[in-house]
Amino acid sequence: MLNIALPKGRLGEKVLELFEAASYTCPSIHEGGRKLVFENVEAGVRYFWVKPSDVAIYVERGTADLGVAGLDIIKESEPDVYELLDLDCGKCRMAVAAPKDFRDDPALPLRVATKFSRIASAYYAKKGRQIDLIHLNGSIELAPILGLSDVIVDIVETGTTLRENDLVILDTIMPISARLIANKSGYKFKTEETKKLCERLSAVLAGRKNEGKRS
Amino acid sequence: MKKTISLPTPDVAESKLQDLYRQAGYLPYRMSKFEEYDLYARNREFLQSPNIITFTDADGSLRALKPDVTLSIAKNAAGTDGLTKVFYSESVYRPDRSTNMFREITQTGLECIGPVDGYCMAEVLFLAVKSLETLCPECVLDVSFPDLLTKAFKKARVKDEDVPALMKAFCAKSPHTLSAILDGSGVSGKDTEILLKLLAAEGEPKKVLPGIRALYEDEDWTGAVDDYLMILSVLPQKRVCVDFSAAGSLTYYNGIVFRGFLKGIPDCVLSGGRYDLLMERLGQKKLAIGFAVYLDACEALLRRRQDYDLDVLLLYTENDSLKDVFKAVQSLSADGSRVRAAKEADPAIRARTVIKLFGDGRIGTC
Repeated sequence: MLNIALPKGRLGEKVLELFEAASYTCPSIHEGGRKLVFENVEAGVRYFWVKPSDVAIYVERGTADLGVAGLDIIKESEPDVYELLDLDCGKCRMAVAAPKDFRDDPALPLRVATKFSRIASAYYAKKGRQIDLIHLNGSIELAPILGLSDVIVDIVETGTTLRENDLVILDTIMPISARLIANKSGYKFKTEETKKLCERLSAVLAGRKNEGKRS
Repeated sequence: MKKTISLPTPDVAESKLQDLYRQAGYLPYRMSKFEEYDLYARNREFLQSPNIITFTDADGSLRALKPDVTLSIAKNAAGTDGLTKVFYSESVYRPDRSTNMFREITQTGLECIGPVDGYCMAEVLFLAVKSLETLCPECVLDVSFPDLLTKAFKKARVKDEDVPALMKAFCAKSPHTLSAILDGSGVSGKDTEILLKLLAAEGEPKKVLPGIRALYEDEDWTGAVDDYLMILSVLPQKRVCVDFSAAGSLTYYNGIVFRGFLKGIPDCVLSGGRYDLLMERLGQKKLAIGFAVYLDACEALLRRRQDYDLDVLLLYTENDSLKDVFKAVQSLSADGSRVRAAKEADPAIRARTVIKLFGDGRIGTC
């Protein structure tokens, strides 16, 4: 039995669809209600819905053998896990954005508001730019508008929120997509099941890619 | 009756491991709790965490509470000729990853320093497997070869600046990350394919190593793989898994690197490897191999064990003779199982298995 932590929300729904297309179905998960754990003994899977930012914790601690987390969460929390597959969904990018009229003054530390402190720090350390890091937990776009920060480092999907708040993208730090992660010890004792799941998911992803090319 | 698995408590595990190493001819090694801070400052990368508890000693020198044992033993092996084979069980002080506060951890392990040959390597690896088996019968030793990776990187003409990211991709078993790094880096498609094969290689040494040997034809490569095959072939194959995700720091390790896992424990509980490069950094031309077992992981084993208060509850009646009850308890507890004999089950006590005596000395499950 593979224990799989799925991220609650839109990404989780997409990922579940992918797993089901790879024959890892679980009818009870579609029944609604407030249940969080769902099992299909025949398919050999037990799914549980968790907060997206907690998926890596469940996997690293071995409560889940596998999980699906965005690359943003993996890079930010650096869990000691295997990253087995790029699931090619939940695509967006980690970007630096600022008000349209922003001008960088290299004589002063750059004030950066973000939920992703580690990613932002690493990015500016690589550039050798001194920053004043402001860690926020949400509504990051508000920070430069109200003068709390000069720029923000955040996830950008369509760019609509940025545009509506008169912010523009200055740089893309990295493309983001959902990844299949695995607990390192759990993998050792469920190698065959995990490999089989990876192969089936890869086949579904390849099929979708080919369909995309044809259409 | 289904055989119960008896897992040792950390103190029992420590004692069993010491017996194992003593039996293999390793000598006990005791050391001070403190070490010069400078030793760790110069070799931070070798440590699991760069954070160290420091203090100023009475003579004004900066000292540290040991965050690691291997460095101290390696440093002190300078004056000895011949082969040094020692084992230790010491407290080390490291920050806990989740709380970021220091905690005392018991680290048990062994080091073999000097003219290390193939036998020494096989012996250390064998003792690593035996150490894991001592803690839990369901275990795996992952074995990797940093020098093969270094050779493969060189053959593929991987740029030096790409090596750390590539090592991360190997550690994460992440083929898509590896491909993304090599895409457009000047490494040929054929070489990328070979590196992807190394990343995907995993399984029993006798099954996997021949495939790795065939990746390159030159003697430097095939000779190195043959040497590893010879060493690993004497180990219990089911317990050993070739897996390049176990690769450690290329600054310190060469030859073989290994990590041990136990079923049900999410973290690696044993790590070790050949560290001639560390010896070189310490100014010593000596070969060295060793490993450490992190007994704090046994706390998790203990948690597993504590799912039950007893391994066996033996139920007897007045028809059973005292002699039969006594004999059955002695027999059932011989493998270390926690056994209680009682006339009736106590609902507050959780027993993994309940068995009963039939009045004629025979036992059976309820």
